[in-house]
Amino acid sequence: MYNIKINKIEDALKKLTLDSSIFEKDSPADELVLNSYKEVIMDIEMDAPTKQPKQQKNYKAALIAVASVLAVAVVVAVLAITGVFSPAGGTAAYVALEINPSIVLEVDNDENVKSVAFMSDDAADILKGVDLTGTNSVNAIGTVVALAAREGYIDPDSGVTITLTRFSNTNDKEAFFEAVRAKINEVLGYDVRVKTQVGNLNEGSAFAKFKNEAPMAAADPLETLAPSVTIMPTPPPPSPTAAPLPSPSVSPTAVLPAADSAGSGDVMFDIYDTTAVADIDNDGSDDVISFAAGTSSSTLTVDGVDYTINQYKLAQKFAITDVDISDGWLEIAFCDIDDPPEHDLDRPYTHYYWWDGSTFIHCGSFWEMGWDGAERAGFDANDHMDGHGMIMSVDRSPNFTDVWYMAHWELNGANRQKKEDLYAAPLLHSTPDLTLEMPCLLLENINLSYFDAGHSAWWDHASWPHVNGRVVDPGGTGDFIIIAQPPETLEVIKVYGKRWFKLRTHDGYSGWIRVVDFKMSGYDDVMYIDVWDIFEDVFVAG
Amino acid sequence: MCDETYIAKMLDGDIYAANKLIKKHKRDLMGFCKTKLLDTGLAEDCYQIAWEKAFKKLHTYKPGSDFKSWIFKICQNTIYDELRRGRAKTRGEDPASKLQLNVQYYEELLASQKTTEQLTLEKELRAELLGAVFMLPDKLKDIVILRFFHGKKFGEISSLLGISDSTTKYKLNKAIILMKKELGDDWYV
Repeated sequence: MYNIKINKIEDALKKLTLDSSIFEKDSPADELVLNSYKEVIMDIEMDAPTKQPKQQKNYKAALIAVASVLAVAVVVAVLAITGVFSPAGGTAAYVALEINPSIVLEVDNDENVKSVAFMSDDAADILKGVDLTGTNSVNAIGTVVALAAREGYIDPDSGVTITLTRFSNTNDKEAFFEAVRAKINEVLGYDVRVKTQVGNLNEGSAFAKFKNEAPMAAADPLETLAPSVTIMPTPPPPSPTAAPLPSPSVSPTAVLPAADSAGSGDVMFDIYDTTAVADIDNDGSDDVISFAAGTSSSTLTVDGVDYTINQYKLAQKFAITDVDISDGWLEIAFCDIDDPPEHDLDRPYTHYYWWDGSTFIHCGSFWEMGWDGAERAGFDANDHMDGHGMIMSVDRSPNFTDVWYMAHWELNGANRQKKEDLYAAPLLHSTPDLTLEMPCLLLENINLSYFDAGHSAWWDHASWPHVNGRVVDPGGTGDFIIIAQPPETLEVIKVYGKRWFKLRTHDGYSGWIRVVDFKMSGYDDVMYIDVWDIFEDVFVAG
Repeated sequence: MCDETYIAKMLDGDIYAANKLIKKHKRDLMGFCKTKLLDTGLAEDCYQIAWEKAFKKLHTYKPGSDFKSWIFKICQNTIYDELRRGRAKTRGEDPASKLQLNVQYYEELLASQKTTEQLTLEKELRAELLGAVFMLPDKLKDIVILRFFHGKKFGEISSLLGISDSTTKYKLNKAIILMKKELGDDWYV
């Protein structure tokens, strides 16, 4: 009966077929189309050779375009692999400067530039004919910033953040950053915010690991230094006499009583209900930090910038502390309502977030660590160390996954990324390779936000330029994805939980897909296709 | 003359070739625009915009690839842009009135042709059936439109949409199941 009904609908639909000749009738559009052709051809002839439009004169876009260390790490790593840079032979550091235009400098032991790589067409454009090789790295950055300002990429009236990342093994990073800040202020004559980030050249970093893996493996967010893109608040209007802006690092003394010994192993709180006023970025002026607890999510606001906290039913209290005074991050803590059964597992968690002046990351949650103060003295981070010397806590960060997992992180801030190897497992049994029947995107990040409405275009074969390129950054935010094409064969190399699978292409790129009940996340909502539509080897028995 | 030859000539500024190529694909593109947007003005705008985009990107067209699929994809994307804008503008309007207008537009298309086969289906049933088609999600609706409104074969649809035949069939089946739900168990011809 069911099939008969369907056939009836099909039969009926066939009676709606139009005679296509009705669409050939002359219409005003014909002439307009032909005129379009004439105009386009004339433009091409007049402009030949065709100029590529400069991507960025939009300073708000510049603000948003501040890329994460992730992107930097990937680019640097790719450059190293591809031989643009040679890590051996006296290379002391790589310095990535991101304004859009963005560049990466290879620096030798004398702090002079060995080579330059452009991370954007704009960079190549403004540095055309400029040779930075042999120049002191600080001066080279000053030159790039000056040229960028001259070309309109930096404007005193618009907020812009310069992101500076130094990958090296030495301990002179802060001195380097200070020198660069001074140089930038000197060449511009006004203040801009300089966000600094660090990476280690040889150990623990994405860069070092990358060398043992296929190119995009370095793009694993789990192995890189910071998982999220930074959008900085607009800096204050420039003043000729204004002091240089401080780094985003924070001072514990601005918030914490002198008796607190942050970093000693104790976790010291200054607990607030709704609002705190304190100089947490050490710029000499008070910052206003407010917190509004909600049911499914809550909001922390720092100087007008909102950060969403995706935790269920938090208490209307927050705390600011600094577990490690040697890093540039504050810890901001929130607590579940201590009222079973409101919170998970009938026991409250304290949720820790890192904040460095702009980036806000959930680092983990401790079970049964309450708020009345009794736990403060008794808490010792060492009690939570795992066999790797890392702190264990539970986490359900939207930056990573939708299930609770054990997060592992370090106090010292140098390696605060979550470790994929600690919880994404290789396959226990070999699995046949999967052959694609349709184009498929492999995500660099495990991140549920890719499946929200704002990313629909990613999963839409009609709007997705899936015929172009292999590795793309569709949002321009450092969220790289791999494009796999049929009839390509993919190897399953890792699983996380029962939903995330890491696949590797024949040419060594790898990325994640998410499958829930045979539905391909992303594609399911947009394309209405299941996993067997994408992979021709997948069948459901029965 | 094949599409590639026209395009090569067009890149040299040959308006005659452009005219030929435009006319060659007008039936499919204009037909899709009109049956998808159900508004002559919008359809002609999208049709024109799609061609303009194609002209600007003509130098990126790879000889050997299917031009029809290429221009169709551009057209489809242009339509989606328009639909997104349109939905934002008409948010809050009565969906029943909108549906009625869409059905009425399709009836006008049917009336403008010489064949009368469609008249063997009662007008009321036609309206219900069209309503069920127009309620489908866009991706499924595209397949139904191409398959039934334009009488395309599976191979042609797959080629135009850049998906496999099996996916086309699967999605068409899914669309019809959704239509069946919409029309109810009692609906039959």
